[in-house]
Formats: sequence, C-alpha cells, structure tokens
Amino acid sequence: MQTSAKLESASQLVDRYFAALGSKPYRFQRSAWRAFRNGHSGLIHSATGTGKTLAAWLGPIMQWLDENRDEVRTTSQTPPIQALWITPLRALAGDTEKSLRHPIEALKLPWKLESRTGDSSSSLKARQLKRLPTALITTPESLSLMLTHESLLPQLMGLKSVVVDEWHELIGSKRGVQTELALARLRRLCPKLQIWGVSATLGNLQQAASVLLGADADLGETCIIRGYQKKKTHLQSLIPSTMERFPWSGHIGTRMVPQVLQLLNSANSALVFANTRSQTEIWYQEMLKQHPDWAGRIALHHGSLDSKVRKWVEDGLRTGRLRAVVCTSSLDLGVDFTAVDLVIQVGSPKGIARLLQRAGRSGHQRDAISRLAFVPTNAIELIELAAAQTAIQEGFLESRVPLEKPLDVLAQHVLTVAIGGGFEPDSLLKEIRSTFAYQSLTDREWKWILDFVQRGGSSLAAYPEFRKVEIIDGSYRISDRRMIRNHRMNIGTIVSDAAMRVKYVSGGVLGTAEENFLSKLNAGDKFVFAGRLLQLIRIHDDTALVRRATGKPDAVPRWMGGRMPLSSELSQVLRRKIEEASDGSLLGREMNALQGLFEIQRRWSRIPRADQLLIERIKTRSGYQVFLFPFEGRLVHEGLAALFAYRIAQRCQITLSMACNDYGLVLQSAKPIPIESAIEQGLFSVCELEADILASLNATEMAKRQFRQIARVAGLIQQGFPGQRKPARQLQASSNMFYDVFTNYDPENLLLAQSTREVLDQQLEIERTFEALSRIESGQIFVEDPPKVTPLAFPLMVDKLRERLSSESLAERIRRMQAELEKAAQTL
Amino acid sequence: MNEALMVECGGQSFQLLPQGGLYWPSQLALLVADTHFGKEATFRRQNIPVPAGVTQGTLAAISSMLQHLPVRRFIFLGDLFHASNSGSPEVRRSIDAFFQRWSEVEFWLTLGNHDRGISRLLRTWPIHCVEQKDIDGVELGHYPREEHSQSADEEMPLRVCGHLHPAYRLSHRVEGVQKLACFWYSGRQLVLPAIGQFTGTQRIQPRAQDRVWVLADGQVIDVSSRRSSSTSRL
Repeated sequence: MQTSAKLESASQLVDRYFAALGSKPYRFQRSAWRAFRNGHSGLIHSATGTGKTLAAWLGPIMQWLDENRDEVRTTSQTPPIQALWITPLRALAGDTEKSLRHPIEALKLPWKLESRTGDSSSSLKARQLKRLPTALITTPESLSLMLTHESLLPQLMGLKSVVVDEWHELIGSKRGVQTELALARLRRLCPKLQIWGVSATLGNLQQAASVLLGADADLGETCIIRGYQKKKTHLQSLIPSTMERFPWSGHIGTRMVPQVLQLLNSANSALVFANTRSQTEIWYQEMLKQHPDWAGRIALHHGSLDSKVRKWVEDGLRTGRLRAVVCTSSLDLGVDFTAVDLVIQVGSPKGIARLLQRAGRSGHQRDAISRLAFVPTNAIELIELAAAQTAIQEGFLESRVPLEKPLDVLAQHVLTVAIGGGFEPDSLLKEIRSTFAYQSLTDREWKWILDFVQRGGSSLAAYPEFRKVEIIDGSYRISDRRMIRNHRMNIGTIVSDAAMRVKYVSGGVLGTAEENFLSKLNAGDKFVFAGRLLQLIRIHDDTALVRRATGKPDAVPRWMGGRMPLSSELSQVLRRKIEEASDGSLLGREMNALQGLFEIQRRWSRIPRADQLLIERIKTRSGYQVFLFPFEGRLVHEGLAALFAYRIAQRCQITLSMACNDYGLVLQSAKPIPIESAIEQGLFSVCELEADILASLNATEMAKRQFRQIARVAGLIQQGFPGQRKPARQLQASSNMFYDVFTNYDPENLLLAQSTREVLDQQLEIERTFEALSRIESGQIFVEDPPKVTPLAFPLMVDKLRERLSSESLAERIRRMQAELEKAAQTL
Repeated sequence: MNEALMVECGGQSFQLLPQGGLYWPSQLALLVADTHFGKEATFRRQNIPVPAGVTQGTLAAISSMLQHLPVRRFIFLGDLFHASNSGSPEVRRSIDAFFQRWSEVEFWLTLGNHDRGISRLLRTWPIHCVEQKDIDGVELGHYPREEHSQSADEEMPLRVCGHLHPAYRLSHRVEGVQKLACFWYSGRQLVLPAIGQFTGTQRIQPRAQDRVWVLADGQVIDVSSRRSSSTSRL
C-alpha cells in the first residue's frame, strides 16, 4: 500500500490539469485511474466524445508519478518504455499522438511519446529499435512486426501497460485475433503487464474484456468501467411529405436531397453517411447540382479515394471549413471533428450500435447533443429506424462475436515468433492457449501448424525441398534473411480487393477502384469517381488513365462488400415493432407514417407477430411466387433461400430462382411450388442443416473466394497493393490455384477446412440460421394467398438480383447463359 | 474422347480436347501449351508450400489424350519447365516414366520464355527443340504474333501458340461463372489454354469476331458471341 500523500499528489496534479482546462474529471475517469493504480486490467466503454482517452491514458501516467514522484521534475533522462497504445487505424495515429501528448506536456513529464506505424520513417524505426520511447503508439500490425525483432524483447520486458483503443473495431476480426496473440506474447515477457481496452458500448462487454485479457485472466481482477452515460442523442427521420408517392421498395434515389439540403442549412458542419461508395458518389453529385454555390464547401470521402484527398477532407472537417462531407463507414472511426453538429444517415443503418456511433460523430464536445437525421430510401426502412430507437432506449446493443482459432493467423504468428527469437513448441503452445481465440486449440491442430511451418504440411512426402523453420537445440527458428524480410513485408490480416489506381493522363492520382469494375469499361466510357465525371482513356498496367469529361456517366463504380446485413439484434427488435403493428399500436412518427402501408398489408394478407412466420403465395406474370418473411437479415435469408430451394427440389422436379433482402426471401418457379407439403415434410427442420446448406449453395466457389484471405494471411501469397512491387514472376500464384492444388494433392490441409468453416460462420451466419429455423419450427406458420403483391413482398418482387438454384452443373449453366446472351443480343 | 469438339480454323480441322490439348487429325499431331513442369518444386524451394503431384497430374492429363488418339507427333508449345530449378528428383522421375511410356511418339518443343537456361535439363529426354515449327503451312510456336492484327488477313498463315494462358469469364446480368481456361481464336491465330496444373490464367477480352471455347466439367463449350459485343455491361 502506498502512502496517501503520494496518491494524492498524482491526483492533485491531474485535478490541476483538468482545472486548467476548465473542467474536472468525471467519476468514471477517477474509477478507471483508481483501478489502474491498484494494478487491475480492464475495459472502459462509453459513447464517443466523453473522455475515454483520458480515462485510459492518465492511469499509466499517474502510476508512473506514484512510483517516481521525487524525480519527476528533476530528471532530464527519458524513462524507458512504460506504455503501448494500440490504435486500429494508422491514419489515426497522428491525432492520437496529439491528444496523448497534451497531458504529458501539461504535467511536464520527461516522457518521450512517439508513433510506430506503417507510415513512420525508417530512420525513426531504426532508432526505436535501439531505444524505445517512454510511450509508443502503434497498430496491431506494427506490434506484430516489433515482435520479429529479437533485440526489442529485453526492452519490452520493462513494459508496464498496454491500452488497446477502439477495441470494438478489432474484436470479431482477424486483426483482433492477431492482437490477442501479440498481447499473449507481451504478457509472457512481462507477467505483471496491465492491459486496458477502450471500446464503444457493446452487447457483450464481459466477453470483450475476456478476449482482450486472455483465457487465463483472473476475472475478479478485471474491471469493466462504464463511461459517461448522459450523452444526449437526438434522432429524427426525414419523412417524405407525401407518403403515397414514397416507394414501397427499391431506392428513392436522390428525391430526398432538397429536404436534406434544407436540413444542412441549419447545421455548421455535417457528415452525410451513405451505405455504399457508389451512393456517396451519387449523392455528392446531386447535392452539388442542386446547390452549385456549395462547390468547394462540400466534399466526398470514402476508402477508395487517394489518401491525400482524404486527408484534405479530414482537415477541412477539423477546421470547420467544410459544410458537409458525404462519406461511407470510412469516417466511422476515430478523429474528433468538433465542428460537426449534425449527422445524416441515408438508408438503413443496419445496426443499432452503428447508428449510435454515427450519431456520436456530431456534438463531440462534452455535454453537447448528438444529432442524427435519418433519410429512409424506401418506406419499410422507417420500421428499422423505429426499431433502432426502441433498442437504444432499452440499451439493447449488438454483440461482436470473437473469432475462434483461425489457423491462418496462428501460422503467421508462429513464424513471427520463430523470427523474433525462436520458440520451444510446448511453452509457445501454452502461451497461445492463454488467448481467448485459441483456448480450445487441439493437439492435432497444433501439430499441423508446426508441420506447416516446418515442412509445408502434415503429409511427409508431399513437400520435399520445403524448409522454412529449422530446429536448433529444440528451438524453432528462422534465420534466412530473405525469408525474414518476406515475412515482415506480409504481416497482417487485411486483404484488399484487386484494385487499380485511377490517375489523370496529366498526372495526379485520384484513388483506387476495383479492377473488376474498371476492366468492364471500354476506352471512352464515362464514369463517376471521386465526385468527378471522368472518361477512361486507357488502362496501362495497374493504372486506369482518365481525363475530366462532361455529359452523362455510363456507369458508377460498384465496390464489393457494401452488403452489410441487418444485425441480429436489430432484426429482433424489428420483429417486435411489426408485432406491435400487428396488434394495431403504432408508436412514434415513423410507425405512424406507415399506417397506410400496414393497413394494406393487413387487408391483403396479415402482419405477422414475432412468433409467427408469414408466407405469401401469389401468381404473377413472371410465375408462381412464394414469399417468406423471417426478418433475419440478408445473409441468413440467402442461406435459407438456397436451403429451401434445395429441399423442395429434392422432393419434386422443379427449377427455382430466388431473391432475398433483410426482411425475407422469395422463391419463384414456372409451376406451382408445393410449399405446404414441403413444410409438412420438414422444410424448416434443423436436421442436416449444415450438410444441406453446403450442398445447396455453390459452396466450393464460396470457399474458394474465402480462401483468398486465408492464403494471404498464412503467407502462401503476397499482398499486391497497386503500385507496389509484385513477387518475383516465377513465384506468382493466385489463391484459387492454391485452393485447387491443396484439394487435389493435400486434401487434409487444415486451411481448406478453415475456409469452409468461415463460409458457414461468417458468410452464411449458420448459427443465426439455426436459431431462425428453430424459432420458425416452434412458432406458428401462416400461408396466405393475397390478391396482389403486398407491401412486404413488393421489394422482393422487384429485386432484379435473382439467383438461380444451381442444381445445374457448371457446363449447363454456361450453356444456358450463353443462350440467354445470344437472345439478348438478338433483341438489340 | 467423345467430349472433344471439332472445329475449323484457318482452313484446318482440329479437335479441341477437354484436357486442354489440340488434336490435328490430318497430321496425327497432338499439341499442348505451357506445361510448366516442376513449378511446385520451384515454389517449395522458396519455402512456399505447394504439394507434390502437380507435374504428375499434368502428365496424366497428357497421357489420357495420347491413350485415346493415334499420335505420331507431339508438340509442346513452349514453357515446358517452369524454371531452371524445377527439375527436382521426383519431377524428373515422373517425366522419365512419361517419355519411356510414349517412346514411339516424336516429341517437339517450340521454346518459350521459361525454357531459357534449361538446355542441360532438356538434353535428358528425346525432344527436338526449335524456335518455331511449320507443318502444312501452319506456324507452331510459343508466342503469339507481336501485332494482333485487327482484321484477319487471309494471306497470313494460321498460327497456333500458347504463352497467354487464356481464360474467359462468362457473365450475364448478375450471374457469372468463375473464369475458365479457354481456347481463343483471333486474327488467324489459335491460342491454347495452359495445360499445366497450378499455372494460373489470364483473362482475355475477345473481340466480337473472335471465337472462344471454355473448358468446364470435362467438356469444351463454345461461348463465342455471334453478334455485337460479347462483354456484358453492368
């Protein structure tokens, strides 16, 4: 126990620091500092802009003051490494450095604070290898990289604490697992290490803390500190003045732009979030068209733009120079834009936490109100906002489910350790099993990983000449310089899609767009990118050369990955909102605006309660349609649609096509679909679920796509960023090639199994599917025959993205598509 | 061999074989391109784990064609080996066995870019190495012509080659299939798919008058567009 005089002193210093800022610490900040100084680890969560950073950061500082009070002012020597601050975004490191530096300077600490990220200069990095600063800001990737330097390990042993910022962004991803492994390594080097996470509020905070602190952590010593809760959030919806003209489905396009512009007039500076990059391009264009005098005062921000452009936009937001920025999730994280006082969300937010977090991007000052306006793009989205509001009131937020033992990340980490000083298998296994992700790693899996890094695979004969890791006196090591360099260059788990640079003929890079999109364009085609109308001149290597154009675009780039499903939690509340409507109680502006729509739904069919599954059957010009409404989110519906189509087609000769959205799915056929008998015969049964789903989908193709990331993380292929040098010509191979060659010649390769597992867990959310089917089986099922396509069914009806059940072989598919193409060509 | 497809190109009749080879009945000749033998061994030498069996798989595909067809001459259209360090013992043994089994066939290799610096390796087996071979007025070689002539000049000799590893991705509206290795006839030039396993492909952008046949499910399927542009738009 330390003397109270000392304790007070650190606290007094901090109080004075706050007083100088004209405020005083929140209670939760004091709790966090107390817990830290008592030697605990834990997790701090609260809304953005409520002082989380200082809550986490002053702990290490006060502890150091406690221990070093006498020399604080006198010493001129920089203390050795005390604290690591891990941030998920290297673009944020600069801003983080600024906010962490402020108390260090105000308290006149002799601390040296530096960053070490992919953007740091090599001279700085070299200097840090000799001596680390007192506090270091880094990313998960750079931290792993540091672990490959054996010479750093003695310094790292002196480390006292690690803070992982924005932990909610990392947990649930392979980067999170990578972080877990690195933390396990650090805990091993310094057994007394204190680890703290900073997170937005999640539905599974206890679990998030366990993942951060590891499977061996003493839960009694773990603190979960709940931040300032009184942050006010004001949510409103822009409801079209005439609901009758509001489409039941599809995309309203930019018809709401005038109302949005009007709202923007009331704000200093606003962020306009759209769900896809192409949407941001469209909205930006339309806003400029309707308000040309705002040119230069509104901007565009998404992940495909050149980093210089993005930086310019971010600076503009920081200084308040920009009135509005249309953006994607690229601005979800980090940076405080104090000038922003309004957030506009265009289209479904898909999740409760996401909506809250976005709202929190406005009113970033203490005690300010966060303002979010929701712009529905079709009528039904209004139910989603109503559901989100209910969920927020009830504090019902999404969980981030941690990943379970991805072997690709483990393989990469084992090589990292083999380079950074080597390892003995038994003790490394113990360390790895101390993480949450790998606590259930089996001996067989571990043996496979060791074989993989040492011999290439478990089969003795399959990999002659392969020799990556050597065993020297029982220690697994890598000493080959080239292999070390290669590994360092490829550390990390982020895989970007094949992208091409978009560049003016006259010079100047605009950003990157997917190769898939650009390769579909012909020279001379016009397309919108980076808020400009461009004309493709030619494609040269990995660069698309363009020039400014006038007129109308032929295409807007479509980027992959904009298909986030409705979260499980939001779906659950959505079902309840619909049940309320079923009971005739419409609460709130949004639900009231939908009165007419619900009336029609009830008259023609019914509004299902939460424990009921509504099925609608109707014949239209395009055939017999069966609509099912599980309200479980798009991914689950995709799996279910394929499953249902497969199970029906098993029992009778029928060709089905299908479409899905976040609310339901439709099966369509040229002849009547025997839905009732199918239900009797176990359409919704959970028996054989996994096998049936794998059989119903083109699982191999999905697994192959998923394998891309695995091959990259496990070090089979090297990441090729546009403009970066590629591996030697002789060593170029795609993940597809690896997938095929393993399937043919080493089918026991566990990375293949991992790929299928990831498809089931992540792409198809098999667990949610299982729960959905169980729910349907135990509830009531209603089959209705409405006179017309109902409001609920309409969006599915007009969805053009129909997929056909591929009971056809590949060759049959090709022949059919070829015939369709020819027919289309003839009608031109 | 009932899955082979008969085609007429540049006045000659060929059979496109689903394994990726080209059979020329009038000459009793079988042609394959880009075998890249021993590529897996080269990868393993760089400590990238590619299992053994790839070269044997490629050889088996070639043997399955030889087995069913009367073949007097066999032409490798270049890139026989992947690299100078591809001739690992287990790869050489398989190739020895292959040449022993087909000792009555006359083997030719038109040298490709990957065949530089492997002459010592090549001397092991009974292969005639040439830059280009002409049979019945048809040019056989590894590389396509330098200039892809826009219009098929009737005066130009037919050329059969490899090098490009051509593949085609068929898509229609939202539906698409993975890119598939293909034969590609364009401007009096017939490009063969790479027959080597673990060799990868390059997506081609055929012009309207070109002809394309993809390999899928053990079949050769004509996907040439008979009208307008073959690339479907968004």
